[in-house]
Amino acid sequence: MILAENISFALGKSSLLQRASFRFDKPEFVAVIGPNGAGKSTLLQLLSGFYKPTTGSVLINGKGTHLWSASEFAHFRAYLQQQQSVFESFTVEEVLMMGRTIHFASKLGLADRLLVNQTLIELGLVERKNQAFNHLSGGEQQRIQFARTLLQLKDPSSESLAGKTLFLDEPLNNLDLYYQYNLLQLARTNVVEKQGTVIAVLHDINMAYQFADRVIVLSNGNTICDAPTEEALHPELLSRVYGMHIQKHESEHRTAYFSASNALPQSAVSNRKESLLHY
Amino acid sequence: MIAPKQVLAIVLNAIGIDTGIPFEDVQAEVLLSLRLPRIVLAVLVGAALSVSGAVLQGVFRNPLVDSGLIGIGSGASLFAAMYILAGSFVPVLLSGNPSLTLAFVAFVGAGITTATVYRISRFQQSIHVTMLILAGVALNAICGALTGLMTYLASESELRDLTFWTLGSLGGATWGNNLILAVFVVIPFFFVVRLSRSLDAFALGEQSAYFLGVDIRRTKLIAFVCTTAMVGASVSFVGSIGFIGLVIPHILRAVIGPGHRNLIVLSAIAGAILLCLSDLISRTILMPTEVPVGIITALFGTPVLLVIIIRQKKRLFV
Repeated sequence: MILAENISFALGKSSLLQRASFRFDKPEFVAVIGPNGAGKSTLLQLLSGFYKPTTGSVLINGKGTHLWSASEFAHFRAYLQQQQSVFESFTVEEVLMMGRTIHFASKLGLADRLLVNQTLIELGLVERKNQAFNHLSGGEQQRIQFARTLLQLKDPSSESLAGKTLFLDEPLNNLDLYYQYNLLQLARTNVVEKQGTVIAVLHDINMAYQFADRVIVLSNGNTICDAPTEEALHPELLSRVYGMHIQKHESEHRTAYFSASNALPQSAVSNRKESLLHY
Repeated sequence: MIAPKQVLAIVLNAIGIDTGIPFEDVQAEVLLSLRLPRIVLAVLVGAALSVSGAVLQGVFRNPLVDSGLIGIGSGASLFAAMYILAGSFVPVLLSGNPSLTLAFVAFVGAGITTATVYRISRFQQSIHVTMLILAGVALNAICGALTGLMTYLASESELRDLTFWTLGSLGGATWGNNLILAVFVVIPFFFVVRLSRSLDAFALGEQSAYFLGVDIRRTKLIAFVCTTAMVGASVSFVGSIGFIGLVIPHILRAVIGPGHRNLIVLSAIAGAILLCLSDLISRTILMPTEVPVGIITALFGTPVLLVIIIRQKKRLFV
C-alpha cells in the first residue's frame, strides 16, 4: 500500500508537483495521464522512492520511502523507465536475470533460472536468449525490459503480489499496436489479477480507458482529477487539460474511443491552468 | 644469466629447501632483490590498473573511462610531487614509513580529482559523458601543469624522482614497497569483486540499478575509494602507466562478455601478465638502456584500441 500525503516536489526554482495526495491500497490498474511536462514521471519517481518529496511524505506499507534500504524496497516495487540503453553487450537472458538482482548473492539459483526461462517462453523470445540486448529492435527491447520488471516482483514460493506495485513510465514506447495491447494485458494478468497494483503513465487515452480502473489526470504539476476511469476520462475535462476538442464515441463493450480534433481557441488555452483549478 | 632451473633452486633455497642445483650468490642476490620484487610490482600494478579500468567503466557506463582519463593518475602524481618537495617540512604521517605516507598522499590526491570530475560530470542523477571527458581533460591539464611547475622548484635529486613519475618505471621495486602496495591493491580488489552484481545492474543505468535494489551511493563510494586506493598507490610507486586500464577490459569484454564478476577477476590476471611482458620488453629491447614501460604499453595499447574502435564501428554501422 502506498500513501502519499500532500507531496510537493521542486527542482531548483521550478516546481514540478504541488500538494498531491494519493492512496493506493487495493489491486488496481491506475493510469496517470496529462500533457507533456505535467509532472507524471515526477509523480512516479516520488511514489517509487527515487526522489524524496520536497514537502509531504510517501509511505509504503507504513514506512517512509527514504527509510527503506534499496534492497528491501526492491521486493515491493519495480519500475519500468522511459528509454533505457544498456551498457555493453549483455545478452537478453542476462538482462532478464538483472531483474532478480535482489534475489541472489552471486549465482542465480535454480528457481530463479526457471522463472527467467518461463518468462522468455511467455514473451516468445526464447530464440533471442543469447543475443546481445542492444542488437534487438526497440520494441523487443521494451518488452524485455518490461519482463525484467515483472521478474523482479515474482516470488517463486507464492503467486500473490499483494502489497507490491509495478510502476510503468510510458511503457508503450516503440511497441506496435499488437504489443501495446499485449503489454498492458500482461500487466493486468500478472500483477492486478495477482493482487498487485499497477501505476502507469500513459499517453494514449484510449488505452487508459480500456485498461485502467482508475485514472489520475495531471496538468502543470496539479492533480486535476483522481477518479474511476469512467468519471476521470470525461471529454469536457480532457478537452480543457489538453487544449483540444476531444470527443468520446460510445460503442459496445469497453471500446468507446476518443478522438481529438482542432486545438481550442487560444483564449481557452492561455488561461487553461486557472480554469482547470476551478473545474 | 640465470638458468630457469637455477631460478627455481634460488627461490626454493630462499624458503629453506635445498635442491642441490648449483648457483652463485650474485645470481641469488640479483633474482631475489632485483628481478623478483620487480615482477611482483608489475603484477600488482598491472592488476590494479586494469581492474580499476573495468570497475570505473562499469560505474560510468562508458568504455572510454579509465583511471588516466578521469584524472586519478595525474592527481596522484601531483600530490606525490608535492609531498616529495614539501615532504621535509611535513612530519611523516603514518608509522614513520615514508613510502607508506607517499602512497597515502597519492591516494588522497587521486581521490580529490576523481570526486571533482564526478561532481562536474553529474547532471540530474546521471553522468554526462561529454562533461566527464571535458572535466577529465581539464583536471589532467591543471595537475600536469602544476606538476611541471614543481620541477622548477625541485633540487637535483628531487628532480630525478619527479621525472620518474612522468615516464613511469618499475625500476624502484623493493619488497618493502611491494608489501605496502599489496595492501592497497589486494584489499580493494576483494571489495570490488563483491560489487560485481551491482555493477551489472548499473549497465541498465543508475536509476534502474536503484529500482532493482542496488544501493547506488554505496556502490559508487566503494568503487571510487577502491579504485583511487589501487591506482593512487600504484602511481606513487611506479609513476603513470597508461592504456592498461583501457585496453584489457575492452579485450576481455569482447572475449568473455560484459558480466563483471569474470571481467574483474580476469582483468587482474590479464593486466598482471601484460605489465610483466611490457616490463620485460622495456628492459631488453634497447639493452643496456631501459625504455620507460609506459612507452611500451602505449605502443601496443594504442593499435589494439584502434582495432577495437574500428570493429565497433563496423558492428554499429554495417
